[in-house]
Amino acid sequence: MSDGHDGDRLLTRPDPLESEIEALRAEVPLRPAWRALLLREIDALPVPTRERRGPRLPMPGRRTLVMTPGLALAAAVGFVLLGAAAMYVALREHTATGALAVTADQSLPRSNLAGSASVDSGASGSSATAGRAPLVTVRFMLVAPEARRVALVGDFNQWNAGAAPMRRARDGQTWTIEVGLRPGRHAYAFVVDSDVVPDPAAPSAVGEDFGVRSSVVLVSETLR
Amino acid sequence: MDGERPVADAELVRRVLAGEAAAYTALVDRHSRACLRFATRLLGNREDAEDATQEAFLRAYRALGRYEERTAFRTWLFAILVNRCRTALLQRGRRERRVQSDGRLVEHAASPAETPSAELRVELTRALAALAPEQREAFLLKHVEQLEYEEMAAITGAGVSALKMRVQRACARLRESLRDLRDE
Repeated sequence: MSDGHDGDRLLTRPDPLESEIEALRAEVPLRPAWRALLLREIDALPVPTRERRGPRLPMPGRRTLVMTPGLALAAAVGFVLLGAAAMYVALREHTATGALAVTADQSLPRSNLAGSASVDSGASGSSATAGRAPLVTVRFMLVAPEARRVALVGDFNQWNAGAAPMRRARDGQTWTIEVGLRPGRHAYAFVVDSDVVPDPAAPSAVGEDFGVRSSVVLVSETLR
Repeated sequence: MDGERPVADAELVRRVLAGEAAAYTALVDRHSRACLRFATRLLGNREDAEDATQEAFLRAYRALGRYEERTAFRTWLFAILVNRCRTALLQRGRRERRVQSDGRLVEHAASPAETPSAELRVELTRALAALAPEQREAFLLKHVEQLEYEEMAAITGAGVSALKMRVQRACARLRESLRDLRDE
């Protein structure tokens, strides 16, 4: 099991810690009442069935696409053009700010979950504490029509779901909040009811900040 | 059970999906102890661990139709459980909880701490609670659940290198804590 990594020594070399680890491996007693409750709740659910994924399953008579050199060239050109178009649009939206994740007041698709972080053009928050960059007010937005509660969590509030509850807008679908952030890179996510979800409208920061899928907003002092 | 050989997890899943809902009970009984142990060590108290484990089993049941057999059921279930535990930690506020769980754990463990080994155990529990959550998570998966790094990567979504680093740091911190105690 060991690959020579220090973290594996625990199991491969005599270590006073090893006997203590054994205590952690001891089973936690399972309460019969807890098990009974769990099984009752499972019984109350509909029995799951295999999901059908037509295109992924091998199907008799399925058509096979033969990739010819001409087709491959056409596909490659198409991908390049698509990429260039996407980059052009992205640059047009972000050149003025120089930031990656901020999408200022762009109209968002009204899917079940769509979000954004945008800089309030007029606010600069509590500025000029000596030697510190001023706060920049950033408005976060998430379209989640079916949510009962939404909160903003991020490295700026220690990922505390109680620190920044978002408000449902008049349209009944959009949740918003404005927070003051120091210039720099911030990882954040939304807590929708009990689920932590990244911002669907921002670049993701997978594996950071406790491994929770989160998003990134870059805040710049020039973002005004 | 078929004869003396235990039925494979994948076969139990197939039975559930074929309408034999009771087969899920076997999966619950097979995996609930490990899930409870992991959640208890990670979250620091029994009540939160039971909630997270219960929620993980319910979510797994609802999503069973999307389960793919190329992934071990345990891996798939633990991935759901890890997410529930992370959410639980986020919801209660990590800093506040760390202090609280630390106190609770020590309170539970401290009563028999009259022998040197018991004292070490209390210190280990305290040191474990003081680890960064991602380090504690990786340490528990590696050294308590005794999983391979590849399976841990599938569960946590983190890379193998990052996980090795987290485990290494966790071990170093734990050793340091115990060494300090012995030197006293």
